[in-house]
Amino acid sequence: MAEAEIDKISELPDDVLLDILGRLVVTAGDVHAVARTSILSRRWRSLPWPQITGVSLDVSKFFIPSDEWQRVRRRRRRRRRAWEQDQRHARAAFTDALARFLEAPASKRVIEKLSLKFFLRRRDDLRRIGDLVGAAATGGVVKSVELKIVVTEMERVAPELEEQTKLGNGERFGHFLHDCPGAFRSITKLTLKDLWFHDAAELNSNLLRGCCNLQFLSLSSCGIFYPKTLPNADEPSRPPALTVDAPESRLEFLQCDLCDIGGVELVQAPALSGFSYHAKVIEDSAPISFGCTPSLKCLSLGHCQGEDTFVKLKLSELLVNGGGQLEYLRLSFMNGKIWLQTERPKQLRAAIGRLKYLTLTNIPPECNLSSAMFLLEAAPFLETLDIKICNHICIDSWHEKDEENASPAWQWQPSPSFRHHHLKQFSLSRAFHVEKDLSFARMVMGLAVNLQAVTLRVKSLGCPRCIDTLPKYPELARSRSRFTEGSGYVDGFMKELMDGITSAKMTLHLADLV
Amino acid sequence: MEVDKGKGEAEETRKVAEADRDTVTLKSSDGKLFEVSKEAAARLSTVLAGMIAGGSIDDNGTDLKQIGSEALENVVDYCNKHANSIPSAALISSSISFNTAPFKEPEEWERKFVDRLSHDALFDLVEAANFLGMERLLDVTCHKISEMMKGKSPDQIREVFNIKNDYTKEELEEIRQELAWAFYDD
Repeated sequence: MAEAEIDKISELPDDVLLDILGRLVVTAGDVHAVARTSILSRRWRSLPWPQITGVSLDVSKFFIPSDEWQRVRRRRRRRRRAWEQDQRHARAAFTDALARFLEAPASKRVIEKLSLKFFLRRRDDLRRIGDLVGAAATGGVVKSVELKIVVTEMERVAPELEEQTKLGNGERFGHFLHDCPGAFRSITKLTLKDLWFHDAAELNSNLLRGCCNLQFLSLSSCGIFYPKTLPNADEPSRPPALTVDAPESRLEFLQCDLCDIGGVELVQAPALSGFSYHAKVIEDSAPISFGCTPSLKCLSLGHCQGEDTFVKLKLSELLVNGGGQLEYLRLSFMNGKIWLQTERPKQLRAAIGRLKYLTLTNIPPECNLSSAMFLLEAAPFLETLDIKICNHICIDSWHEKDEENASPAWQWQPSPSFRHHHLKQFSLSRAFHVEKDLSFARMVMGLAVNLQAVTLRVKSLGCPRCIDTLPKYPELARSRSRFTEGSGYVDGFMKELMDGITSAKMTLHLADLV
Repeated sequence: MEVDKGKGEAEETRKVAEADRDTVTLKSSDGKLFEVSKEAAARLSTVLAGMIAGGSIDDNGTDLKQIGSEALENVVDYCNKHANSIPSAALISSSISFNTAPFKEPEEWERKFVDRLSHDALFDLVEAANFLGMERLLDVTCHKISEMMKGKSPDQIREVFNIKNDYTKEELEEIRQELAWAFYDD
C-alpha cells in the first residue's frame, strides 16, 4: 500500500483509535508500541490509551532487546551485574506500566481482561503487583485477571538442585498468595510452571478454594513435596495425588502437564468441563479418579513413558465414574507407545458411549490403525474421528521402530455386523507415505454409513529439526513430493480411495513443500 | 393531464413494489445511488437497521451526506459480499479452548477486501463504518490498520501515515521521561 499523502489516521475519533491500539495489544502483545504512540504528535498525546479494555503485560518484553543488549554489554564489563540491572529495570518498568493502565477509575472504562506474565522473584515486587491488581479488582476497574507466573531462564539449575529450587518457588508463590488475597480472588486464569507445593492440602485449600473466581488452572512441571524414602521402608514412596475438592469452585478447565504428582483425584469440581492430564510416569493403577464432576465434557489424556517402563491401561478403568457424559476425548501417545489396552466395545460403552469427538494423536507410524476400530465400535454416537500419526525423523531411533512393523499394540477385529451410523467427519494425517492410510480409510468409509467428509492430509513437518533431517532420507522426501498438485500419482490414489464409494465428500490435503 | 395521471399511477405502483423490495437505495454525498440488500444492510449496520425499522428510508435514495461515493461503494460491496459468504466452520477444539480473543479475526475474503484498498480509501471506509455503526466492518478495517502499525517505531509510523511531529524537543524529552518504561533507553 502506498504511503499516505495526508494524515487521515489522526482525524479518526478517539474510540476508533483506541480500538486500533487495543488490537495491537491483543495481536502483538505490544503495550510498548501503544504507549509510544504518545510521541507521534500532540493529537496522539491527548489519546487516553491507558483506557484500552484489554491489557496484556509480559515482563520479558520489558527487557532490553537483544540488539540493544549487545551495546549495553560492551559498555558494562561485568555481565552478571548488567543482567541483574536489566532484571531490576524490567521489573520496575513492568510495575510502572501496570500502574499506568490501572490508574483510571472504573467510571472511565472497565478492563475486560488483564493478562500479566511476570517472574516469581522478590516478595516486595510481587506484593506491589498483587496490591495494584487487588485494588483494581475491588474498585471494579478489572473484570477478569489472568496470571502467568514464570521463573527466569537464568534460574535453571542442575537436576539434583531442581527439587530444592522448585520448592523455593513454591514457597515464594505461597507468600504471594498469602500477601495478596484480593488479587487472587479476582483471578480467572492462572498458569504456573516449575513450582512444588509443600503439601496437597495447600494446593487444594489455598489455591482452589481461595481463588474463588478461578476458571482456568494450568500446572506444568509442578509437584507436591514428598519424602523420597520413608523411614523403615525399602520401597521408594509415591508422590501424593493432587486432590481437587472444591464444592464452591468455578474451575472450568484444569491442565496438569508433566507434574510430579501421583495422579489427580477430582473429588468435587462442579463446574469443571475440561481436564487435560499428561503424566510424566504412570503407575499401574488408574492415575485419575472422578467424584462429583457433573459438567465434565472434554478430556485429554497423555503419558510420556520411558523406554524401559511400559504400562498399559484400560480406558474403561481409567474413566470409571467419570466417562459417562464425555463428549470430547483426546488421547495422546508420546514416545510412540500405545499405552491403551484393547477392550471389548461392550465394556467400554459405559465410559465413552456418549462421545462425539475423538482425537488420537502422536500415533506411532507403524501402528496398525484398523485395531483402533474397537474405540469406534464402543462410541456409537461419535461424529468426528481425527487421527494424527507422528513420526519424528529427527530422533535417531525412528527407523528402528519402523522395522518392528505392524505393532501388536491393538488387536481387534470389528464384529461382522458392525456399522457406524453417526460418524460424519473422519480425518487422518501423517507426514510420510500417506498411501499407508488407504486401506484404513476405506475400511472406515465402508463401515460408517453416514459419513459426510473424509480428509487425508500430508502433515506438514513443523519440527525444524525434522526439516533439517529430511534430506538424509530421500525416499521419505519422495513419499511427500508424490502428493503434490497435479501429479498423476494423486489422481490414481484418489481413484483407488473413492472406488465404489459415492456418499462421502473426499478432501485430500496435499503436501506443502514450500 | 393525461400524462400526469399516468405518471401518478406509475408512482403508486412503484411505491407498492418498493415496500416489498428486498433492497434499499443509498445516496452518497456527491449524489450517486447505490443499491444494497435490505437484509444485509439491516444485519451489518445498526444505523441502517434503525432507519429501515423506523421507515425513514427514502425510496429515491437515502441521503448519507457524510459518506463519499467511493467509500459508499465499498460499504455496499462489503454488504453484498457478506450476504454471499459462507461462515467458516467452527473448530471442534474451540469447545475446549479458553483463549477466546475479544476481537474476531477477519476471514480470508475480508482480508483481501481491505488489502486491495488504497490508503485513503481504507480510512474513508473506517469513517463510513463508524458512522453507519457497522461493527464487523469496523473490526476488519481497524485490524488492517493495527497490522500496518505493528512492529514499527514511532518514526516509521509517522512515515506510513504521514503524521506530522508537532512537538518541541523539550516536550519530546518530557514524554520520554514520563513513559520511561515504554522506551528502552537507559
